[in-house]
Parts: sequence; C-alpha cells; structure tokens
Amino acid sequence: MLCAWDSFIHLLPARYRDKTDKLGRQTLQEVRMRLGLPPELVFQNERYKLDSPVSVEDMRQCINFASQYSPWAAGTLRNGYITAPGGHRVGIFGRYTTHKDLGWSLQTPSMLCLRVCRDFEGIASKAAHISGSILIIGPPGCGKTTLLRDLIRLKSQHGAGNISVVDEREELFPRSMERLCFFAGEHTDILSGCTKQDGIHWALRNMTPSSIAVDEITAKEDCDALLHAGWCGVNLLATAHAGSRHDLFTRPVYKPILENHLFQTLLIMQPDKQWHAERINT
Amino acid sequence: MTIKLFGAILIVLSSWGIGLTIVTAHRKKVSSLNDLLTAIRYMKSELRYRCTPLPALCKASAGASHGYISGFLQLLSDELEAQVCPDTKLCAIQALTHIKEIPNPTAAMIMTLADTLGMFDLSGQLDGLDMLETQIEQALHQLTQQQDVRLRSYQTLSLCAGAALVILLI
Repeated sequence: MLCAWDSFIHLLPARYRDKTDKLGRQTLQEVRMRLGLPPELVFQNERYKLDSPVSVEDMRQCINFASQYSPWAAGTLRNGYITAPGGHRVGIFGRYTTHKDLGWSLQTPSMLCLRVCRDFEGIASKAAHISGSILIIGPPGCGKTTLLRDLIRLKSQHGAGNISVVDEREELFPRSMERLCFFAGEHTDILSGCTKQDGIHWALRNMTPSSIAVDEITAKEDCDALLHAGWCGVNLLATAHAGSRHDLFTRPVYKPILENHLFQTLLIMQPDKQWHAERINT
Repeated sequence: MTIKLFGAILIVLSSWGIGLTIVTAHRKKVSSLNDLLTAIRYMKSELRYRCTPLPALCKASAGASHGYISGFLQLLSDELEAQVCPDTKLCAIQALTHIKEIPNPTAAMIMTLADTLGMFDLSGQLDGLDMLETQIEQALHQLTQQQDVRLRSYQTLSLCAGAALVILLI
C-alpha cells in the first residue's frame, strides 16, 4: 500500500499532527474538521475525536497548505474541493457568495473533509484481463478511484496499448513536486487539470489511445464526450456514483451511455471495498 | 586658526551629508515603489492569464523586479514553499524581518499586497491588485512632483544650515 502520508499530515494544524499520525497512519480514511468542534478521525468501522476545537484559522491554514496558498488556482474549488499534494482530497463546505458577473468566492469555510489517498497495487488483477469498456460503480468512499488506478496500471503493463487518462481532479495520478506519486504504467499518458470533455477530445486527436480512462462521470457533458470516444473505437475505463446496478440504470444522466451499450462490463463495489464483475446486458 | 577652519569644514560637510541622506532616502522610496509597481503589474498578468500559484508567482515576480522588492519576493516565495506560516500575510511578515532596508511606505504597501494575495478568489485578488496599483501610482506622483527642485532645496538648505552653524560657533 502506498500513501503520501507525510503530505497528508502536513495539511493538518500542528497540534493535531502527532495524534493523527499515531492513530491513522495505516487505516485512516478521512479527517472531518467542523468549525468549533474537535476534528473527527474516520476509520472503516469507527470514529475518534481529537482534543481541541477547530478554528477558522485552522481551516484557512489547511486550505492554504492544500493549495500552495492559491485555492483559486485549483479550478476545482468551484466544485467545492481541492486536490492536495499526494492526491488527498480536501472537500470544503462553508459560505460561498455568488455574483452574476464576478462568479463565486469562498467567504468562510465551516467544514473540511480531508480524504486520505492510498494506492493498493494488485487489487484489480482479476479485472485486468477483461476486454472492452469497463465501468466501475459504487457508493462514495468505497474505493472506485483506487480500483480504477490499479486497473489502468495493470492494463498499461499487460499490453493493452496506450491508455490516455483524463485526470480532471488529479486524484487518479496525483503529483508531488512535479513527479507522479503513484506508478501509472509504462504506456499511460496522463492529462490532468482539464475538463473531461476537452481532455477526451484532445486524447482522441493527439494521443492515439487504445483506451481512455476518466474518473467520476457525473454530468451529461461527460457522457456525451464518452459516447463520442466510444464510437471512435476506443475502449473506456470509467467510474460512476451508483449504489447498485439498479441505481445506475435509474439515473437519467447515464441513460445514453447504457442505451448505446458503451460499456460491456460493470465492476460493482461494496461499502466494504470488495468488488465483483458483471456483464451489462441492457 | 587651522583647527577652526578644519572644524568649520567638518560642520559644513556633515550638515551637507544630512541633506544628502534625506535625498538618498527619498530616491530609495521612489525606486522601491517603482519596483513594487513593476512586480504588481507582472503579477497581474501572470494571474490573469496563467493562474500561477503563489510560490511560483512570487519567484517569477522576483526575477522580473529589482532591488529590495526582488529580494523580498524571493524570500516570500521561500516562505510560501516552506509552508510553515498559516497564511500569506504571516509569510510576508516573516520575509520582511529578513530585509530591514525597505522604506516604511513601501513596507505598508507590501502588507496590503500580502493581504490581497491571501484572498481565496481570483477576481478579488485582481481587484485588490488594481487598487494597490492605483495607490502606488498616487504615492509615486506625490513623491516625484517637483522632485528635482525639492531635492536641490534639501541640499542647499543643509549647506546653508551648516554655514549658519559655523558662523554661530565661530
């Protein structure tokens, strides 16, 4: 298991670091920081509260450290989160203001959710031989991104041709000091920071991919871009939020990609991070 | 008599030196404000077109400006990269402690700059930089208005004061 743990610990205010390091190095999933309350360490089956309450300054520090003092430079803040060095995701809740001409701005953060990014090599080995396009589904926090990362790496290493990864949130293959934190495979090309729609078009035009991988398809535009790529003869590897197969088929946004048989295999994840494969027959 | 003459020369020279110090300080103020203005204009273009993160922005601006401001921006960039201080303003204060020579009005402008760069939204930052640019331009206008005449007057006055002292003492 790989994890840029030191980067994660550094995001926290100094007084919380020792205890978090001691308790969470191996298994911590999230730290939840709510204004005026002690931070909460979230593990698979338990929660633990640290001592002193969180202040606004703590939150601002955390946001500053996660974004190199430049949250506006991370285009993802408009979606309520920042990807910190090491791939850890900092979700930000609080008071935003929006203005018709000036856009939006974060005024006061009131809740932060820091999710630890861990990499488990080999967890997708049973899916590496599956041909065609693969969609990974599961509820939030069950490890879809981790599974997709390993799937990309294994397919890239096992001669599935060039794989272009459109890593909009820089969570699949995060960078630290301009180097990738996790091995991506020898035939993997990573495009990060741009939208999935643009990234898929660029990959198709410029990178001659055998497969294109994207994380978390959530919008109609993402589905349209995937359809376009799928019709160009490229295999797709993607993840989507859906608690079950039934949820997936119920959500209108996924209807076009399912009706057009874009994906042939579903990898369904459970909250306990186990998964199984199913063929899609619509 | 020789001692008196020597003393008189010393008094005149030292009083002229005071005038010269005032003139130099004034020139230093103008030059540091000009450097700060250059850095702010560079920052604005970097932020507007490239959204460069602050540590890289400060490093690049240090390369694009001169004098104390360049040194300060380099130190600020180092502070930001070290990620020890919780916000940009504290990083700026920390960086300023290493440079003693920055004149007061420029130091005040630098703190406003740090406040502006610490904002969480880009449009707010750009507006803040616009405002700061205007403030610096106004300050520069005040400082450079009839600058040559004023500076010459300081030097003349200091010489005259020296001469007056000599007459009084001798």
